[in-house]
Amino acid sequence: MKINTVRFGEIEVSELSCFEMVDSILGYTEEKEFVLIEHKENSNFKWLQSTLTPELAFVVTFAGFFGIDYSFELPETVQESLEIVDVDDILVLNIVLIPREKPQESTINLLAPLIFNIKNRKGSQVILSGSNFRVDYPLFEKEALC
Amino acid sequence: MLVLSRKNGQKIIINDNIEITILDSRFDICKIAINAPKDVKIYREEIYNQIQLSNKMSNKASADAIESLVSLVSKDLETNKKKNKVFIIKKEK
Repeated sequence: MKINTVRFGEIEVSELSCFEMVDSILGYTEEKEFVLIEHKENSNFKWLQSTLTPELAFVVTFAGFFGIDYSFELPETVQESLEIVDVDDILVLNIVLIPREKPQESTINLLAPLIFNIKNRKGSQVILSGSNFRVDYPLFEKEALC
Repeated sequence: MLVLSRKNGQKIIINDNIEITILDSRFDICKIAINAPKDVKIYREEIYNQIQLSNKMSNKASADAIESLVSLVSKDLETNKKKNKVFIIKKEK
């Protein structure tokens, strides 16, 4: 199907890469469908683009790529709402915040990951209540980039 | 908005299936117990707001912004090695 986007123009996306948000991304309750777009070959980032709103897209990545020790127990309610039967069907992505003109201050949201079931292509943003994960974990250590 | 006064130990019932109990209220802290069906989502407001704000700020990235981030990622891997050396020097002091 064809979708309109601000960043990539009109693009053809496979329905196989579309996800239905059963629990919405907080603040975007009307946005029920997103498509995962690869940033580039071998890139560790992807775009999560709304199929409804051309300007709405998030940069997402895997926490593990940045050497972040990231493990948690998936709440039972999420397993049920996403109808997860096999652990291998779970895809976990985290939203990256890139401040304007300051990419070195980019952060990753570990507190509220995006969880997808790749089998039925349902997804949700899950708040890991009770965890110590930060909503704005820095991707780079400050001194490292001086 | 409905405003109710409750004493410690008293409850509020919402919609036949949500039960809120005031466990303890002293000074400016109130301990609340909530009994609700599993699919009712309950969050501390500040955490909910924090995530909502983060989401709002996260979808402003331009296609260029991701490129500058990618270039930093490789740079970071290199400088991390250097950083380890700095750490050794500090230890010797």
